[in-house]
Amino acid sequence: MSMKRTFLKKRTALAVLAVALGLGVMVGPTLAYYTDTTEANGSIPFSLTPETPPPPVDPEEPEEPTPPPPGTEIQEKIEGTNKIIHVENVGKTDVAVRVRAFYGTANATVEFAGEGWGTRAEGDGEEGWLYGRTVLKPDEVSDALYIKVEPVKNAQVDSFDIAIVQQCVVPDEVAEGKPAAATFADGTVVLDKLTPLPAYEADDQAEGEDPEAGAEGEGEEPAARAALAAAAAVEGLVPVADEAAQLVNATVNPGVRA
Amino acid sequence: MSEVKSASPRTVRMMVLAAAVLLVVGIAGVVQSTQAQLVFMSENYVAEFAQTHIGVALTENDVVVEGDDALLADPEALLGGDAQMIPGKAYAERLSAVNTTDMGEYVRLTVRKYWADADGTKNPLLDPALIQLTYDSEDWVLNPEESTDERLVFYYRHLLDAHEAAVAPAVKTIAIDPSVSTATGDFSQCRVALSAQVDSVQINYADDAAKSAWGVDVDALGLEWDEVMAR
Repeated sequence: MSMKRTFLKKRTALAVLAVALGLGVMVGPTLAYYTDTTEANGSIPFSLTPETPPPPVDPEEPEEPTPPPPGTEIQEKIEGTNKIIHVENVGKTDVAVRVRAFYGTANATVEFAGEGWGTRAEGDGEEGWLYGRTVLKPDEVSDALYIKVEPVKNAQVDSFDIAIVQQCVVPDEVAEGKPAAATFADGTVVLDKLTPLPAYEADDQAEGEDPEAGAEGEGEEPAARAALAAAAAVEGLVPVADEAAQLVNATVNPGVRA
Repeated sequence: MSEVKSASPRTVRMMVLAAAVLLVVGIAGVVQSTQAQLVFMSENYVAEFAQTHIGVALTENDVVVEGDDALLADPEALLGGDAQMIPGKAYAERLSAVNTTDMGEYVRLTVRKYWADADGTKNPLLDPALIQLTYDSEDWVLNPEESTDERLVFYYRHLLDAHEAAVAPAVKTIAIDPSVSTATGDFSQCRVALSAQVDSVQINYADDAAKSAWGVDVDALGLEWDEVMAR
């Protein structure tokens, strides 16, 4: 009996094994998922040569036309010992201008006048520059700037030189109704906020003031383009001419501080 | 006993005759029945047989393509009159998928872009990022984890129903970056190459199927492929 039972056990175990094996074989297909795939490839020739045409310009972003460069000229008149300056806009765009005078202080006093011109507040920008208080349109001439020269008493002079340098820039773009402003090399100037020079009095022969009194502006090279003019009345004092020439050179080469 | 055991010659003759008759009748019957069976089979065992499967095809500019040199095969149509691709200019290259069977499925599209030498062999020294593809992000999801400068993998958001094409192509245009003129490498004699592969999985337990077949967790991509099961 015991042998027969063992034999039966073996047969049962084999049967179980066979079923397990069968189930195991079925597991694979059961876990498979339906999938599919398709492929394709290809290429086209490309040759980068100097003849390769440049990328097309996006029509939505046309290149902004370069604005015409500003240009101005100084007009000088001499009346007695005084000098009268006008600045004319000879370019094709609006400009803001400023001028600076160079002169010696030993033999004469110099005074500036003209309501069309003004100075910046003390400490704002470089001293010595006088700013036109209005923007000049093309072909427009600025108000007169009067430079009154009064010889120092008892001074032995038979000549006195004043060199004038002027710079012009295109005014800043400002919103409608906002005051006009212009950016020079040493900062932005709001034209309405300039301190105007005193009005010119034709018969004014008063004592000269400190030459710096009327000229509290600033100066340095041009932000944009600077036109220049240096003028010497009669014969020159060499140091004055040198200083003016230095600044003129600087305006021709923007970026180099005088 | 001997009378019982031995049969007479007459009996034997009768038995042989009977056997012969049976044999002849049997053969005739077999022949007839065999013929009848053939006729019967030929008329009744013809039946339609359909195997369940899913299928997907790749389309380029709405035309089904498959195989080597099937993509970018018509330079004139692609370039629209240009002698060759102009850097910075985009050309229409719509790559999409279409279901070719009567079962719904989910699909993904893998696109590889690379530079090849004049003979068509891949040139790994040239930067594939200079080949730019624009793609649709509304109906397709780009998987950033699988994508590189060379390879882009898109998953179609929606169920692709039987015999339907995707509502929008995954890839829309191809262009060459204008900086190719200053890029390192020799671009004087080369080819712009594309390779595209479209895969599909069943819709039942689609996320499990995608995980099993592709190793991708589509839920993490923001796809809701299994929602269809509720239909």
